[in-house]
Amino acid sequence: MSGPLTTFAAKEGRETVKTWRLWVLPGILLFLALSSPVLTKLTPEIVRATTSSQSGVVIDIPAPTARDSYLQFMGNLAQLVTLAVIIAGAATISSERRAGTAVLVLTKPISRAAFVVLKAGSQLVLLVVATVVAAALCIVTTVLLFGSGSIGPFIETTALWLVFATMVLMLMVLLSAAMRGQAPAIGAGIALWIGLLVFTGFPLIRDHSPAGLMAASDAALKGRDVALLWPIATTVIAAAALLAAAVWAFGRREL
Amino acid sequence: MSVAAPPSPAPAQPAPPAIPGAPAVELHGLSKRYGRKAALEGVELTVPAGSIFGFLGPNGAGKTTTLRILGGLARPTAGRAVVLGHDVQSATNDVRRLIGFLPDVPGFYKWMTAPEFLRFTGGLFGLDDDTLRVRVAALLDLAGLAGVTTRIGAYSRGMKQRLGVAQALINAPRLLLLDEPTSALDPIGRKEVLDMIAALAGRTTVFFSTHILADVERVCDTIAVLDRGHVVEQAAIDDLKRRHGHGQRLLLEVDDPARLAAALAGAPWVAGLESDGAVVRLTVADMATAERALPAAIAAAGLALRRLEADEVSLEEVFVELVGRSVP
Repeated sequence: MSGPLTTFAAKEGRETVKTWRLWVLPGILLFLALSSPVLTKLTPEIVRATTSSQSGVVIDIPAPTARDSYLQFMGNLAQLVTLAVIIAGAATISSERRAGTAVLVLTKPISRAAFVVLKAGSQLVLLVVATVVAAALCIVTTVLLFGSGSIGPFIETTALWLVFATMVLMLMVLLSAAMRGQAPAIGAGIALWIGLLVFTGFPLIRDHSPAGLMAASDAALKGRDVALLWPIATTVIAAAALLAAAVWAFGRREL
Repeated sequence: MSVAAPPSPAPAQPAPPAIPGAPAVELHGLSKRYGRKAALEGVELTVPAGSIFGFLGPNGAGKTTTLRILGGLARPTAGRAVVLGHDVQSATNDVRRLIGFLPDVPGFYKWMTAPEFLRFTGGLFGLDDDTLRVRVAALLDLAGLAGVTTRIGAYSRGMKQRLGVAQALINAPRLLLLDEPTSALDPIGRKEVLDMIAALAGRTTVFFSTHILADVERVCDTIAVLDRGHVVEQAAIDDLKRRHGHGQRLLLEVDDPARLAAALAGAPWVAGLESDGAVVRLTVADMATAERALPAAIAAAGLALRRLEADEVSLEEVFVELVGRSVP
């Protein structure tokens, strides 16, 4: 016998495998995990090829290293993948509402809180698994192309990004629960993300808010010391608060 | 689609008990506003347990809003909705265990097949594997979807509607809430769904919103008419016709309708008379007197009687009279 929570959680898992969900975020992550080291390796050749026709132009590019490969991947995580999290997360609740499936499910004995938490949880599991697999693939590709490099800081910065991405995902779950459609949620999500980026320019705010994690990944890979306690603590608290707010907002919403 | 017996009420995870003697649905002063627009205003309604209850009204009358409140999908602005003795607002989960719900446009996971979807909905009720196996097979047969292996995304609207009815029955509900269940179906599909609803009579209360009057006449025993957010009438169909028939009518066919009209002119038991060719529609104020006096009047006028039958007032006529406008 299975209860409503395990039944719905199992549905979420099967939905991930059987629909576009499997290809969007994991697909982007795996592509970047493979392409970042390759692109880093080929960068000097590409620059040389594009400047060879211009006489008198000499560009001296140092040989790329494993650290450059990891920096390239982290840059992509911070930009492209964060944007993908915003877009995919914006559909978390609104897609079920738009398709009418939320009505059929929520007239059965499953609470709205469980509905929101399980949907957010399934997205989070997908994000974590895809990021871990992509990071492992990036390490393997980097080692093959550049030889062994320092893996520790890369794992640390990937973990920091995951903490930040979790908060972004919970923000999008809230926007998806509270707003009418996916497009307005994406717009609001991008606006808030840019707002957080602006905060990285103000050290006092940056060092005591989730904005600190946006600045931390690059610094950690380059070996600079960064304050992490406050940014991590505030990001985790914000993620939990955003999920609670999503539960509250969806509970008040009429279907 | 064959009309098999719907599942008997034996859920693996027991539903909360219905309060003994409680009506299936009670609405007390139920109001719902969307901004300045009132969708429901002080609705009072009682649906007896075991009835097939037709909830009639023109488009925009508030039928879907009422069903959404009963299903826990919307909150009333004022008043209470009670299902089998349980308040919908304060005991939402108890109510959900007791009901089956079909919205006007049901949404499905398109990547699932019908058996997968029924197993999923049964799982949400905590049904065990053995119960699920039996019920899913019975309901697929009932919905005419046994052996259909395509995903729901490829289904016609009629197939989706039949699957919608099937999923609403997976928990053998005590109350089945159906919002316009036949509106998307072709005549055969409509007949099959109506036969299935009729088969539930006496076992499950069916609360069935529609604007298709023929469907109501066919399966419902009691109806309520909703108009602009108010219940304007609630009664058994026969009572309603009797009350709104303004006397009773007889259809007669005689060889000379004009002579019959002259013969009956001034008779105190005649309330009205219309003739259309050879057919005369006679409205009588007193049926008992008419039954005695009419044959004598026809014989006295020397007319040949070819047909005499009761002409019942239609639900459509009652509906038009109640809502004061044309049938949607």
